[in-house]
Amino acid sequence: MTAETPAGKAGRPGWPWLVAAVLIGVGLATAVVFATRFGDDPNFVESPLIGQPMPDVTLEALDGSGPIHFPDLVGDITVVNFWASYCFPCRAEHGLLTEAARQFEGVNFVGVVFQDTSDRASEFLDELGRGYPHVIDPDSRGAINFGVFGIPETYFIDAEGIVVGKIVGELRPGVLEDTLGQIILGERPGTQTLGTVLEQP
Amino acid sequence: MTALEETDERTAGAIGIRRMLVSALTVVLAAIVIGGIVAGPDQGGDRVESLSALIKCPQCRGESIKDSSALTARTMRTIVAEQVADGRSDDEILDYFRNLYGDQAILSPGLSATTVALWAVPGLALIGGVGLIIWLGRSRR
Amino acid sequence: MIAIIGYVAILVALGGSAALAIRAGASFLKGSALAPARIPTRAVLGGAAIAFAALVLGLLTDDFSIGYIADNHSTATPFVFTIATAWAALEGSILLWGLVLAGFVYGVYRTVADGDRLGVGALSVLGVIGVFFFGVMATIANPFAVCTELIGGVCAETSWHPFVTTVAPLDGPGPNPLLQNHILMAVHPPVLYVGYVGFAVPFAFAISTLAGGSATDWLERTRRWTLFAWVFLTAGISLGALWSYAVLGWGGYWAWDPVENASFLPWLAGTAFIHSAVVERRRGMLRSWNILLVIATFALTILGTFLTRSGVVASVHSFTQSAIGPALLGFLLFVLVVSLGLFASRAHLIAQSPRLESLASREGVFLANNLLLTLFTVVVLVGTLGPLFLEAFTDRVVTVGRPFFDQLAAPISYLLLLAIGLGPITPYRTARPEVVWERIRTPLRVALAAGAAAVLLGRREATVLVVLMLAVFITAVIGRHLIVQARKTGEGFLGGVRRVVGREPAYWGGQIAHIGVAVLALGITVSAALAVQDSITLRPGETEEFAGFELTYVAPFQRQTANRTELGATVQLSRDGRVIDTLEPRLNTYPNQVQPIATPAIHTDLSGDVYLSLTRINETAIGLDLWRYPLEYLIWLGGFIIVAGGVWSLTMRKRARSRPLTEAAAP
Repeated sequence: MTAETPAGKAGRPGWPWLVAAVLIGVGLATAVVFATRFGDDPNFVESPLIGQPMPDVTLEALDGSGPIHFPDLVGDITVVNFWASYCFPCRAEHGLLTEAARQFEGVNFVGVVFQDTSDRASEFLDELGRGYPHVIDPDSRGAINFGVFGIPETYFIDAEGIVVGKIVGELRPGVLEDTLGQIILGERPGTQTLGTVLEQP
Repeated sequence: MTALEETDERTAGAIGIRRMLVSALTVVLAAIVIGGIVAGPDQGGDRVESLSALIKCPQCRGESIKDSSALTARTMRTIVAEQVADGRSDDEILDYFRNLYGDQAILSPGLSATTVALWAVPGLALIGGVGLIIWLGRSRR
Repeated sequence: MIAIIGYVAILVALGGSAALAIRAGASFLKGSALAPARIPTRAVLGGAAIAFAALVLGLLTDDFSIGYIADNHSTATPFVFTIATAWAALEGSILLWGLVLAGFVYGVYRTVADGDRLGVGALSVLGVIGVFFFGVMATIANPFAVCTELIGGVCAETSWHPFVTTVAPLDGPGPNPLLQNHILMAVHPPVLYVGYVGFAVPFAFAISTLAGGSATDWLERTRRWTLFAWVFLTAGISLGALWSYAVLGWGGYWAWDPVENASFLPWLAGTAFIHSAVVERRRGMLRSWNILLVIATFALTILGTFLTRSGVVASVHSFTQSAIGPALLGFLLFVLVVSLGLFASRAHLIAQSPRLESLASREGVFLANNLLLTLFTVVVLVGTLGPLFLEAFTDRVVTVGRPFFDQLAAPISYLLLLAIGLGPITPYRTARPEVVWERIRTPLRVALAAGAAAVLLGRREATVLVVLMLAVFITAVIGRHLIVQARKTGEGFLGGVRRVVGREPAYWGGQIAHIGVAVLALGITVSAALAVQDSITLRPGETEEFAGFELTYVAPFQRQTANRTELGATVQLSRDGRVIDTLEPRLNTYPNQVQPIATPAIHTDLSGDVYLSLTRINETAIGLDLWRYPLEYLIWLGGFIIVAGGVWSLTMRKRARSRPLTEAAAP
């Protein structure tokens, strides 16, 4: 696809310079683009729900006490945690959630059982303690409305009903407190990634 | 001598007939193929299918909800079908998932002011390449 | 001790590479071109081999004081995967890269004689590449970095050099479960690396030619090296696809994932190069284009190495993030600037092309082939890197997935198939219509007959019919050519075929590969267009219908092997009430990962595959994902034929001086 004219050979090596300049330019641009990404997590996704009203979701309580209509929770800060019994990080963070639910009395905590049976979820809670209401999401519609990628994921909704934060992965001690503290002060913590999420049950 | 000539004549006649037969057969074969393709399933006619192929399964890596059988993917297919039945447009349905999972949720960049470059670069490469080849072919005459 | 031996060996290889680069470079520049490189070459090969052997020995002797081994090995890992662990993670994979490079350095050195300026220059270039890779191993990606601190029995601190007091955990977590789930993962990376690194050889000769500033026979010298690398790259990609299909359990073999694309890009450019090289050898044309293509191929192998190891793109296959990313990026830029700079200033000295007489000629078909392959490369490159560019410049995050690639790759592929079919019937220089018609009419009719037969058998899918006809056309063209040639030998049919294919392995190997491409294309199209998919739940004893088969869930099972727990279901596959296979889709759980890995079970017969992937299993029921892929095995058969064609080409005698026979003898 190159074209060498006799004139080109003799005096003006014009086109090879042009080709080389274009290709080096493309290479440089690529390098710059890559260089800006070193150290970034390529799997990080800023949740588009941040700044949006809480999704309009109604889910049945695990203990059979009837449906919970999420927008009814507006008025207080709400924490929504997606979990399942087969998820080890969920098991590890469960204690932190029940502890925080006790500590922050004015905050609604709701656990959403993700792609799991109610029997297994109940066993899990019998073993590790309930602490706050849990609902079951049999066809994952609730999870889809929250934009859940995997578990554990935890969403924070402020008293006005606006989603202000999301934590992806297993919670660490202190993170819940920090995030809730920011929300109480009227800040918007946004999306944080603390670990990987389980994608398939 | 006569016998030989006769054979030649007969062979020539046979060849002519054979040619005609072969041509006719070719036409018939082509007609069958074209007819088959025309009568074929209208590909891409199903909106639920074609939209599902564009939406990424959030639980999978790089798979669409059409190809994945994860529970979330199945429910999302149902949602697509519901919204199609509700008469929503393709863009509205894609935006619905975009607003939940981010721009990454859509597997094809689509054609917009920002993504036009993705489609334009291969197009320009094609035009440039074809131009170069034609120029190569003509300038040497 | 092993760590020190290994590290010193890497330093020896680094020193050898530097000495090779400098001494061969100096000799090249002086123009004396004495082959100077005996000791440095042996240092490179010996150092790399000893370092690699040391890593394997460390793995076999469970030497957990070496950080790499502590992180990626466990005493319970079976023998085969213990060996494979040597290249299962980042540092080890770079060491394997270095070992393969050392092998090529030595191989090239053996072909370089005194006064061979081209060869000496190439050795110097290979030395520079060696300096980079062994330099990386000696510093930021040292496979022999040792453990200096334990926290909770796990190696928490490593020292980048091994000359410190070490501590060793008692055991390690073992390799990534995905990598120890199947034997293919032990084979696929080395095969791929030989392909990747092999393209360094034609690159080195091309750079040497540019630096020398006059036309050389570099293409002739490197043709076997290139073909060798290409064969391995093709085999490596095929094995990777097979692994993805048979092990990952998602029901596919190719996802247009960035790391898959990373191996496909150099393959596309390398394939374009192999074809345009034919034009230069036969007609002396496209000289500078060939140099550009080989630079592009090599740069794309570095880009691929970078994409896989830098952690900048999300992918199923990536290694973890590390400091090697910036280093590889820097090297990529260095390669581009130096080689393209040389190209810009020297290309006009090398290029002296004869005229293209007509576009309607074999040369014209080759040009079309190169345009299409280049375009394919651009599409894959844009699809892989485009989203990163968009995000950097517009802050908009987009995903470029299957729909984008499929939409653009499909038409390019159809045209490529057509070019493959037209190539052998088009004469060099000028193609007269009556000659082309004479050669094309029978294959055309055969292809039409195949298409019509498929329609009469009930197929209506446009893609299937078009690709079927193209595939049959390609095969018929090649078959016709072979029969015509074989008749001319007067040795009877079989003897004639053997004679023809044997006397020109380069040409006929290529045609075998083309038949492989036709088979592959048919497999890809049919298995995709006629696929059936379902998800079912079964209780023990229950039977469900699927795509003309009946599936019966017999019983669950649990097995404990050395390195994993297998939890699975025995499923009987029957057709028309007769049991034809017993399948065991399962979930494998490894001690170092909570999440089990679904291992699919596949039944293959002449009609194609039935693919079962277990999604959930409990006391009462199992969940199965089912796929029916008609003729899926054609994909693997096609890949095998392509590789076989390449191997056949490689068998040709070293440089047949006589004019190839094909041109004289028609097509």
